[in-house]
Amino acid sequence: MSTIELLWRARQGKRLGLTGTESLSLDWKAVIDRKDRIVESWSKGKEEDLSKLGIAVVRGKGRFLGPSEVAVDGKKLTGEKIIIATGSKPARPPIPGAERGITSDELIHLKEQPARLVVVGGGFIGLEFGFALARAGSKVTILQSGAQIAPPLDDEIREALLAAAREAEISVVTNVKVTRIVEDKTVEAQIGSKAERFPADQVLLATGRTSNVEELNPQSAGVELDHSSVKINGYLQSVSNPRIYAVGDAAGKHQHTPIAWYEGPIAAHNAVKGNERKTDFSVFPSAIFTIPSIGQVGLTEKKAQDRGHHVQVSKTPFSYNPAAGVREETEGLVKVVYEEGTERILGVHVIGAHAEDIIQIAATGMLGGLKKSQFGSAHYVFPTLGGAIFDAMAAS
Amino acid sequence: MDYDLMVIGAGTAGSNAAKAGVKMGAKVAIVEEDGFSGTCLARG
Repeated sequence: MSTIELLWRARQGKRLGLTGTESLSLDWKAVIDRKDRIVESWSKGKEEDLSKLGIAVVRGKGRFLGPSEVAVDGKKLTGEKIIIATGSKPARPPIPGAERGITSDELIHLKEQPARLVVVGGGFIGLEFGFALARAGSKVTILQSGAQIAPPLDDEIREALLAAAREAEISVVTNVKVTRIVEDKTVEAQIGSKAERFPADQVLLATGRTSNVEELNPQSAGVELDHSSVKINGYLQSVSNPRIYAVGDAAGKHQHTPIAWYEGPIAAHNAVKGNERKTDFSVFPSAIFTIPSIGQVGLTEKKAQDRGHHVQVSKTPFSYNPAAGVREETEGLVKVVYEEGTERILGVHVIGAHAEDIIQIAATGMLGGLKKSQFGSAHYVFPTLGGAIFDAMAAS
Repeated sequence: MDYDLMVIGAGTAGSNAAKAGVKMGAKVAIVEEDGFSGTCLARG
């Protein structure tokens, strides 16, 4: 995604006085190869690292035989406590012809960039890949079953994202019921009473991810599931088998890599020393790597109202930010949702260049309990994109 | 029991859980059929 964003911004170099950048193009195969090399370098040595620490590394597919017994390729192993950390995979929706579509796992291994991509699903994953391919030159259509794309977004951020989608010439269609993917990969759909056809070179199935827990045969261990994930309490412990804990995507709810870093040691602690540590997600920043990207922490304006807060909002568009102006990265905004009177910050939402980094400033301030006016009068480095957070805190 | 703590899956969450387990002195095993990094890291 970062390579494609660089390409997109570089192509606009003329505005900065650079010449010849309009003709920049993307070598799809070279980009995919580089991605594979990076992944390889991250994975390399991990098995040895674990062995060196004295952890027994057992190769093979695990399956529960009983409440504390696991079979790994026919060999029976027992554990006083067991942590399930089997991750997730993209779901394949029950659509006739779904086997003609590809998941995000497969898209990033394609040898060729598809000229026309139809994305089934307007959630975060569908939007991320939709934007990336569109910015890289593919003709992208996103089909969303509901009335809105990315329902968890703040409404104003969604509006800004839709404007960005229009500028990227992504066609976003809502209230779509996909009925079939035919042989030539054309997606057939029903929109209200109208039948529509969306021709495609590749169809990305982005209708969510399911946890891999079911493949472990959790019933044999008396592990109750909630949707496809382990049903857990605040200690990451299975509610039905106290010997078992679950972390990361196997524990469901939030599917983000930082959660996996965070939950692993907590589950291990509780499993080894007894339930002493609870998970706390009260301040949890996250990002969507669309182009431009989105960062968010806390409540949306609507959610804050639904919870009965007396909500106030302050905003700063990126176009007011001198650093964004200098860089010609003026699309976007920062929105602060706070409580009237107490000035407690309830949520912060950013769309624009480097939103994924900028949001961390807001999250750290929220964790420290800064009131909006305290935050807004803090010193910060000028001119910076991060300054937009402080400006939005100072705005009324 | 063969182990104090068994971790199934050596992605980000599993590896971190196993490392934390040995640090506390537990006898730990980790079971993995595929690669040794998380979904997000390995799959983009």
